[in-house]
Amino acid sequence: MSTLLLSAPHIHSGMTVHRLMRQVILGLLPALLMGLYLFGEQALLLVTAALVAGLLTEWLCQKCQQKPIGSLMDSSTIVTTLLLVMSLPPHFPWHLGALGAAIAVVFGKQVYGGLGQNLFNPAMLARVVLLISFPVEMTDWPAPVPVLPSLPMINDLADAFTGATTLGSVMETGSSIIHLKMLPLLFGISPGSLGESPVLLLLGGIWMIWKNVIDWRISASLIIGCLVPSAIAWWVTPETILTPVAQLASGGLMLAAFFIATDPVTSPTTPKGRMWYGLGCGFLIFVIRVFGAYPEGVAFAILLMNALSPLIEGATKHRAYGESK
Amino acid sequence: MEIVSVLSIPLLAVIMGFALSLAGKFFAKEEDPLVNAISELLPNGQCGQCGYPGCAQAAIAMSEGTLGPDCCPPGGQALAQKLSKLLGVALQSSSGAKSYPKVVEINPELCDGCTRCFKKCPFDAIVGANKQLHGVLSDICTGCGMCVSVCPQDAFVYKTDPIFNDGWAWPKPELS
Amino acid sequence: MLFSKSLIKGGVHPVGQKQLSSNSDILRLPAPKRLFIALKQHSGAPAKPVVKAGDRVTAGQMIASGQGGSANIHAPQSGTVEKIEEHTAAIPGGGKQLMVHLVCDTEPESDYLVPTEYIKLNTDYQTREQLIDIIADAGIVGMGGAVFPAATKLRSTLKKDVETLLINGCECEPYLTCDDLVMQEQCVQVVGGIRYLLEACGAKKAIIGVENNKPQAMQSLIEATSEDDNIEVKALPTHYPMGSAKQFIQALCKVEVPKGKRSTDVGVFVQNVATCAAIYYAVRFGRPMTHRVVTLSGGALERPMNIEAPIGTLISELVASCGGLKSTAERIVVGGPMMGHTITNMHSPIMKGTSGILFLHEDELPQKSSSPCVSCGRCVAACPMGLLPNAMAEFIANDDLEMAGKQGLSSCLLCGSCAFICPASLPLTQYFAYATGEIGRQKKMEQKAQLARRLNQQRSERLEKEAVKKAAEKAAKKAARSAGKSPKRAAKTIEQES
Repeated sequence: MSTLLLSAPHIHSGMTVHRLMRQVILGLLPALLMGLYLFGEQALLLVTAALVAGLLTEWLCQKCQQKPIGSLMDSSTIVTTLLLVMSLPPHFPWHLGALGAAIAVVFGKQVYGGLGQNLFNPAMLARVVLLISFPVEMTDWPAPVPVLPSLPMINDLADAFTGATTLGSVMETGSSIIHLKMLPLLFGISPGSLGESPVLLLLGGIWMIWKNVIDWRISASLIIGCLVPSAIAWWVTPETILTPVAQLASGGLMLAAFFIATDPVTSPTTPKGRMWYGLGCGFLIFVIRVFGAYPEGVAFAILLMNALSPLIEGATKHRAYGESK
Repeated sequence: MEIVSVLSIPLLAVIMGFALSLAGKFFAKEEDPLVNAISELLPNGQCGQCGYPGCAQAAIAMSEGTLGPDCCPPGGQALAQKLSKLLGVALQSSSGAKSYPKVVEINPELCDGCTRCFKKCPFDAIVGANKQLHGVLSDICTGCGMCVSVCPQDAFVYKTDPIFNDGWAWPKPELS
Repeated sequence: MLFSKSLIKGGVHPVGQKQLSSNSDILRLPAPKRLFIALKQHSGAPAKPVVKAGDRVTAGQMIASGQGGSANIHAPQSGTVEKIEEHTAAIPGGGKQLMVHLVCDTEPESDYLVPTEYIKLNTDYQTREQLIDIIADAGIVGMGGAVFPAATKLRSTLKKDVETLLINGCECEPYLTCDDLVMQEQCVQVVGGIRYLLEACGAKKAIIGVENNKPQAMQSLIEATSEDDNIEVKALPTHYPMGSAKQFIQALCKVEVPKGKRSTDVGVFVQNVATCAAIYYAVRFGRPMTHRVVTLSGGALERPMNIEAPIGTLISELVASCGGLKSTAERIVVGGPMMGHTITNMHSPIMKGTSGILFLHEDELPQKSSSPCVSCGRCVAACPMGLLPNAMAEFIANDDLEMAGKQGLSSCLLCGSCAFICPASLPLTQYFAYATGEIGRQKKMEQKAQLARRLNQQRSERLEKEAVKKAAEKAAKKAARSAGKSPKRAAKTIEQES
């Protein structure tokens, strides 16, 4: 019998941070595997290098600070690293990917004091650092070439692409009238980031919502926040703006909606705050895509809203029981 | 044109410096408001446990930063926290063995009723009469120890303030 | 679940584990040889003993009278008071308390626990006040959790209009089934007690709220109230902490008790089902509150069940009646698993507020180590009071109790919902329990410091006056001496002349 006097409650829901992280990894897996399938061993090398670098950096940081090296730290690092590589071009040089993972761990998380203390999403921070430092490598989008004995349909579809992302070509040409096939786009069979297969991300996301891993409020409001203004813009000038569905299916929007914006550490904790946070993310993504200098604005939008997150949380404190309405 | 922009900044600095020094002259306060604010909080027992002869001197020392906010044993943790907020000085975190506020108690076998202690008590927390056993009112006693120093019989013992000794309380959690 | 509007804010859904102890009837034990009756059964001042060592007492005789917010205590069995001394108590921290050590007369014949012969209370009443007095005499306290004297609570209704009497049969704590079985087996007594309570608090109608995981109790109550138009039985969803008075009121009446106010301020009066049964026994039969039903449960116990035991029975004796332990009990919890506290010594007696004793196996317990907070916000969603547990805990961890107070710490129920759901397994409840106590002590210290300041000021003023007076006297003396006569002699001559 324990002789300690222990505080209530004496039972627990069984939910642990480690389990949460594991479920996020599971949610990411379909889209990751699709990316590896489409982009071959070079993508696999990138993912492996980044994971090894991320975990190694984490281990070193913990060691230097004489903190315990738990499995928890590792699973959160895996999530961060996966999110980073899935938002990178699939053939991004592996050593730069490893550098990115190290940056995510050191400057995204550890300098703030470790897990739970960071203000900005580590993966997005690292992505922005890479984008600014290596602009050429970061905008090199290869067409998908499935590695395995390719299914005829995928092969057919994949033939149609050249080296520009949907958003990139809209940005370059200033016209939305591009050769666009919806079906391959939905499955990520188009030039784009490693983890850019919207339908699989959506499935993973819905599974996580069902498992109560992420809050549906952030995901739903982010999608609405991007969908509504893009629908209006498309209705006004359909020649220069992508259709709303294509907006949702392209770039990192789905990844952001279900995996990046929902990062608990950098998002508000209040239910209402989460709504506003999601709406803000979605709207900023739209604004940067349409008016910004970059074709895709997910990373910047998330970082901006991360900075606002404490403010949103403070402004959306809900009414406590028994307080006057 | 450039000369204007080069000069304008130093000029601005000079004007503002003047304004500030003038404001300092005209709006100067006779007394340091911080010292007053500190004095307001101190128990005023003049017990001297902080190393200063009285609370007024201690307040000045605190405002100058030579004395920490946790120097006043009679005030306890509550006072230390208030002072640390007022002074903007962080308290040393309460790690290790926590010290609780103390009060004194008279050992009835030793007290001979000399009345020295209750004449000395700054808070009138000791009752008694000549040649009679004295008693300490523990809900007033601040544990300043003025009585301890004058007692010829060494009859005083310190004990934890009953406020902190009233049954068991949940300790602050220590994270693994 | 996603969009359904729940009756209360926040809350959690722990696994009930009620089936462990709810399937067997309430066990009644022969009288134990020795009882240890604590003088401090609940918060407030300890009751004042009215018996002394060596006294003979009869069952039902008052052995300690309530004072300063405490209730009377009666002897559950006839016997002899051995002594009144300290004994280990089943309280948080496991300290000792003054207890009446009662050596019971052995009655090997009686297998029914409640003695048939006992000193009856006077049960005549005409007015509400007199009815409340009977309840006060019987030493009845709320058996739900707060253990507040029922009569004190009832007296507060004399000055306020109570519209509705709410009877709490939620028993939202997992494992506990004592209220469930009381509702099933003593539904007539419960309803009888409700009728008395309606009279005592002046309410027009009563609603019994029962969580929907107790269908049999519901059924018994519906049958028992079939002739009462003003008593309604309502099913509530199984949702922790439905049984907390504030949440219970919110669920049944759709009103919130404003901060700093009491339930009677919103026209409702809440009482627990087992208390109703006790009130019935007191008013109908003149039987004081000397026994209660206790749940003994947990994965480490051989035969979990409910036992009706005299107040003061040692926990170790109750365990023996349940067939002992079948495996190591990693934690022994007094109360429910969400809000109860651990004890380390089974040689401590049950009290009026002891609803359950749980012997938890290691597998049932939460993990011990905690990880850093990832601000997942689950605690915010789970808090039934709408507080921000993560923010409050952070302030407390950094010793900023003032800010924690501003975040609404005083509203915290210590219900444990936040800590139950916390993926980081942070001891949130302990933070709040610690801070609540610490803030209270600091407030007392502050008041003391203020008192000390005032006394010091008065003292220096007095000393000054004395000094002035002394100086004046000295001056007068001097003046008198210079006039040739000492003032004393001058006074004497005046006396002689008159």
